[in-house]
Amino acid sequence: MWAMIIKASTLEKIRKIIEEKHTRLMVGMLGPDVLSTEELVELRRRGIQLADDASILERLYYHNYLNPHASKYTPTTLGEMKTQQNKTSTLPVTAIHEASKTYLNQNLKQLIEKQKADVLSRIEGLIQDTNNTFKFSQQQKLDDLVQNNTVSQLKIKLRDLSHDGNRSWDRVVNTEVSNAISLGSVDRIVDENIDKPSDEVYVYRIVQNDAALCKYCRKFYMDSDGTPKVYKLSTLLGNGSNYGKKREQWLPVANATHPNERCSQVIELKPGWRVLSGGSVTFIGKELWNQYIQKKVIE
Amino acid sequence: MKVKILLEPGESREDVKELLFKALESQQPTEAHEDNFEDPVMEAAAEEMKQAYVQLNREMIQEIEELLDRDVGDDY
Repeated sequence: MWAMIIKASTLEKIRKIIEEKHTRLMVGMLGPDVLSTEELVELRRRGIQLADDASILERLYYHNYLNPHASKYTPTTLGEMKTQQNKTSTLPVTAIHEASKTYLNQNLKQLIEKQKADVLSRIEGLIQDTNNTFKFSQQQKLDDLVQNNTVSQLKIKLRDLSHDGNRSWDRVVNTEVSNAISLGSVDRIVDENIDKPSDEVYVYRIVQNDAALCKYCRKFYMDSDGTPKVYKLSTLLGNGSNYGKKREQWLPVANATHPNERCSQVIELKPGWRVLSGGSVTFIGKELWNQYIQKKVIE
Repeated sequence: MKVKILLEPGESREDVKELLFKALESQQPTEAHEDNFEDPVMEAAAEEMKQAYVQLNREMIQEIEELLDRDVGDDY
């Protein structure tokens, strides 16, 4: 058997480094409440500091729940967001809110696990390649310089891999933040219309109408006249999630439409109001509204 | 707006036409948005989450490199 340049014991230490870093990330993002008792015991045993703040996604969820419109009271920094939420005597915690927060937290937890697994798998692949190169250099009786170079090359590849990891994480963040925006705003609309069926509640989303607007969000959320498309809330909720679906199966939904989405909150169009280009609304009265909404709403 | 195109020797109007269409096409991404939230809180949160990973990644790679220097270096 050929001597391996990177031993199994070194690989095991690398696995531990990757594991610990991603666990710290999870605790930092989600707070200790998201972890099981066994996981918390293990973290304490390993001396990992547990932050006592809530999950960042829960904070963002409530931020969107509490702030449907920008006003002088709307927080503009993370510090103001926390202050607002700490001052709010009772943040809503019904089954709906718990379900949304659990969804956000568990989703992010799984994505961090996936990110960790991807990093580990790619680093193991690089090490395997390095070891194979070393075996080849032994066979060819090349000098120590070549053998040392395999480690130097591995370091370069590790740095490239780190850039890929950052890009992949950026995508996770954009999508999950978008989910928090959507769920917070939808749950508020549901709470405000608790006495109404969701097919009598009308909603829209505002796209960022610039060069980067994708064809899906344009098609789903923008009418041909440039105004937002209006849906029954039941339609968006009924379409479920686009997660894991092929692009051609994507539908307008109440949560993130696709990775990297940057559309607005889900916004309610109240009876009597007409939505204009850019998402602002104007009052037209209930009589005109009945005709307007029949033509405007997408079933 | 006017666009002025200077042809180098050997380049044809047909070449320009093709390149121009390609360039315009690339200015209209059709798949995913750029990351940008209009709400400053959401922007700040997304940035903080992204930076947390950048830092994690930096530390992780550095620790692995140091480990390689120690463990693999000992073999020689």
